[in-house]
Amino acid sequence: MNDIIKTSISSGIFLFLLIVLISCNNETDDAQPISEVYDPTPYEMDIPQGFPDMFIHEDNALTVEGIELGRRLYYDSILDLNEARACASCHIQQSAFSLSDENCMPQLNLAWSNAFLWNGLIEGSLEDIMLFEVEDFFFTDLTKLNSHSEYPDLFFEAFGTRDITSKEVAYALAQFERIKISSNSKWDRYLRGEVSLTQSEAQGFEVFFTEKGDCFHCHGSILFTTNSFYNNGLDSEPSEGRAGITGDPNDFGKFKSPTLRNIEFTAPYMHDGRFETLEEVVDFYSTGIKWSETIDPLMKKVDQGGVQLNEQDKINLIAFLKTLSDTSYLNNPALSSPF
Amino acid sequence: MIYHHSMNTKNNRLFIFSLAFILILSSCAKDDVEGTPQENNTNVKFKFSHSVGSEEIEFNNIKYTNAFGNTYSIETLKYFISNITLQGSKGGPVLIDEEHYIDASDVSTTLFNPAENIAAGTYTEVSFIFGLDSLKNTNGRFTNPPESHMEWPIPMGGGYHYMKLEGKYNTAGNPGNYQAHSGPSMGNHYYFEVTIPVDAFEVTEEGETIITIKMDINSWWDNPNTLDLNAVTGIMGNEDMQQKLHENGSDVFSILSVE
Repeated sequence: MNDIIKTSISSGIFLFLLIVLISCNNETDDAQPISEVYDPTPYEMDIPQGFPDMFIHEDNALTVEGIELGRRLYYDSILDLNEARACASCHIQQSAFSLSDENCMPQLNLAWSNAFLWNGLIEGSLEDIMLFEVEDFFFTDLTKLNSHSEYPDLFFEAFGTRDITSKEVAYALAQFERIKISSNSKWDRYLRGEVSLTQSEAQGFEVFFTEKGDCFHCHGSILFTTNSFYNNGLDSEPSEGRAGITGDPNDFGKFKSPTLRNIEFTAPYMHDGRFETLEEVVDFYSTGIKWSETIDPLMKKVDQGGVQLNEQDKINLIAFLKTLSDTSYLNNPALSSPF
Repeated sequence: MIYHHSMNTKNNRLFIFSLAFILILSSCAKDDVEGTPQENNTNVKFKFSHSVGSEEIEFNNIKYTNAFGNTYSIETLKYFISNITLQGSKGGPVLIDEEHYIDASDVSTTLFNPAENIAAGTYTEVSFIFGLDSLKNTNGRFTNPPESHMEWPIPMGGGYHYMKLEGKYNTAGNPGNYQAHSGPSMGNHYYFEVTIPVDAFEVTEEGETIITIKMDINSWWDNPNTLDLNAVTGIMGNEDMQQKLHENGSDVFSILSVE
């Protein structure tokens, strides 16, 4: 009996101590709800059918926490030294992450790009361009992030550190940019056999993908861009463009070919936003091209001002361009503001 | 979890140390077996050289003259070579059943190292397909750039360009652009086989043989069809011009050297 009582008492004391320990532990948890174990959830990237392989930076694997942090930072003006603007101030989702009264480039399918901005100022990965944005565009005050009530914990969950540097900020933004994929336009659904094109859209497709309109050489393939640089004949005395970066006089007037996906929503057009409408753009390629020494050799009938489309061709071409509109991208809640 | 962490620090350290040790061991083992990923290093390589006459090409300079009398420049030269075949002095031909994309402005593409070794022996002839043959030239074959950017759109037959050769020309003070884009126009095939006899050369299992294939750009513009670059624009749907380039291509390639 005594032994049994002793054992029971010992067990009771042990159990009591255990409960105390656990309850202490619970108190600690209450004070600091974030787990100390860095265990981010891998994000499964679903590359759309027919799209190229995606480059993913070797030390920036996509995680649910990293992407979510990137999204929050994208919409938070805390990135800006003066807290005057966020990324999303100039990259409006409803405009395919461009801005209707300026000529900032739309943001979609940038995971397949390796040179960024109109003149390709930053070459490399999304991490490189985002580091540029943090350090040289926003001049982010990292002390604000480090002393913030929530960000250190969110960075710990995403990257395993509470010591926030420009690198982690750029990496989170890069993860968010990498999932901004537009692949559900009417054109994509047509390729998947889900919808038919109207007669006008189908004829516009022919204009686009033959040398009648000759759009495809610079805006072809599934991404509707080669991501290369061209002088498309805007001016007889072209501006510096890519030459300002490379120093090569042959690069005068060359600018990055933007994707035409969601082009309906990304006015104004060209690097300087000189055209307000798609009609103006098509007119330009039809009769407004100007010769210069660095005009791209792909530009045809330059002596006549361009490809000489008739009015019906122009209407059809624009109808086709609008099949590249992807409203599910514009309305995707996973890309919208978390605030 | 904090509790768990502090109680087992020692064990954790041991665990992490063991894990690191295993990782180091396994990575060493992997290196021994597979080596670091790199381009294959097989015994025969093909180098592609581009010239006008005997001169290596210089881009972006209207300094060349063709048989018609156009002065012209070269800004873009991208093309496919496929199905390279070596004819042995005895035994059957050796087919390299691959295609290779060449961008003359990108040195990383001007050396082609086939996936497999070529059988040792004596060889006397090199042949290949300029472009892609009908079996290889199918929609969707390439999803990654730069090859995917060679697409030949479906309304003009589908598949991929054999070649994009572009630049500017000047005739009597009037400048213009030309684009010698050849490919499977309207579903018909204009690729061709090039066969070049060479002085017998030896391939050994361990050695390295470099065969340099030269394209003379000026040869695209004549023999048998003398072309005015003014007409070499927007020709992807122009089967007459595709046929002329096909015919002119017969003397464009030569073997510069076998080393």
